[in-house]
Amino acid sequence: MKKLIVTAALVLFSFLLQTSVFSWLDFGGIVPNLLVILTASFGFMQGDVAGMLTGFACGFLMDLFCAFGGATGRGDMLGFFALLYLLCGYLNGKFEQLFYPEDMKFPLLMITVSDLAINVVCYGVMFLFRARMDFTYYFLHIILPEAVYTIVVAFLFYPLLLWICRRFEKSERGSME
Amino acid sequence: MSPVIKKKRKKITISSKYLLLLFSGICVALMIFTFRTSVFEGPLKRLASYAVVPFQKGIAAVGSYLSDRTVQFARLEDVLLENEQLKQQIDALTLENNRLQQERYELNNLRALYELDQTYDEYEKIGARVIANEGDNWFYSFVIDKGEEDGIVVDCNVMAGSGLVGRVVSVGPNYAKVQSIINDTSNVSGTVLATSENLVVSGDLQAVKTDGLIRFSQLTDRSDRVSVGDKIVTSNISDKYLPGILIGYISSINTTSDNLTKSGYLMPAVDFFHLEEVLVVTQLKQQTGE
Repeated sequence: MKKLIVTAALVLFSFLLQTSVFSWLDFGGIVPNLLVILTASFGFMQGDVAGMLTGFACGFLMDLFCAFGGATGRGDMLGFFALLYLLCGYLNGKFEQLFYPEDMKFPLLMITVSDLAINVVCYGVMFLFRARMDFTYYFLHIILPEAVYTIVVAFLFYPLLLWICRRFEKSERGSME
Repeated sequence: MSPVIKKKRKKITISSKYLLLLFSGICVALMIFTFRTSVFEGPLKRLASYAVVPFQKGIAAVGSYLSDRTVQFARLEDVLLENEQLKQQIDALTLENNRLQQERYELNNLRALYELDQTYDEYEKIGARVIANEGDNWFYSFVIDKGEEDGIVVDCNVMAGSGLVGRVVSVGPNYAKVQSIINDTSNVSGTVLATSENLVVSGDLQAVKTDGLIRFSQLTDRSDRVSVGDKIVTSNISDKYLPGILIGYISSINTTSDNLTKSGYLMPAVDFFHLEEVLVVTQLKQQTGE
């Protein structure tokens, strides 16, 4: 229960940071993707179920406040980002066996790959389908900068998540004994 | 100890596949439902308005306070210089204003003669603060701190200063989501003010990222009267946007390969990357004719 509340608070906190605070700290109009860091980390640290639920919550918030639905001209379309982040959390959860808290390279690699994958899918669904063909342009100007900025932020954000997850484990172990 | 843990592990892995299926199903169903209907929108928006929007408002208030302070300290010198220039500009503008007022007087008389309405001189507007931006880097939309309770409905036009920013695409009780005209999926029908030729202004992420421009197309200009620097305003035939709102200035024109129409890029009148306060026109296009 405590875990659930802390996770929900983290999701909300990351979303607020991403939409409000980081829009002042952007580099050339590029904002880092904290929600991917959160979803991916919870996936490989806590397993596929936790990753899935976190991803679903993150994606759903994105859906509520994102413009993609506006493209249909009829208000919102919810569920797209929710599905994308859900899968991201689930797939990251499949790599739980490879995760060691001491190793910093593996989490960063997973976060980067997740961010790249999510954005390539975003490009495919939201731009390629509307005949915006210039993939190299979008890759070099949006996808890649976002991944780089996300790694930089992950260096600061990931240790916090790791610490929180260790606290979870500790309290779980405490309640078992 | 170990069998207990093993059993738990197993249980989780079995249920995770079902959970994945279940949640994917929920997502797909949501997409299909919300694509055409607005069944879930009411409760979800109420939830968002209680859970997320208050925090965004708080952060935005702190942020704008801080940015105000930094601007105050950092730019005093700039402001003094600007003040000097502005004073000169005021002199020039006063002269021009006098002349224009004379012309306006004449225009009003002529309008009265033609029994034309004073169509777009004064729209009713309310001010709103930008409290959150788009969470990803693909689209340009933002959330403002006024919603249904303040009389905002979907399709309300949004301006900043004198230029068009976009329109409201979704409204919650105390917030509204605005899609900018630089957004890749946005299309606005515009008019070249000087020649009254219509054209279509479409947001283009590539143009915005490279030069901060918006694309336009479908301009019919056989006699080459439209030139770089011409003002583009929203047109009379647009079904969402009120007529006569400034969109921007033409920065380049070229003839399309079929030689029938022209297309090019225009510089928007609004600085989309530093929006803090916007004006929402509460009047809808559909109401103006009545």
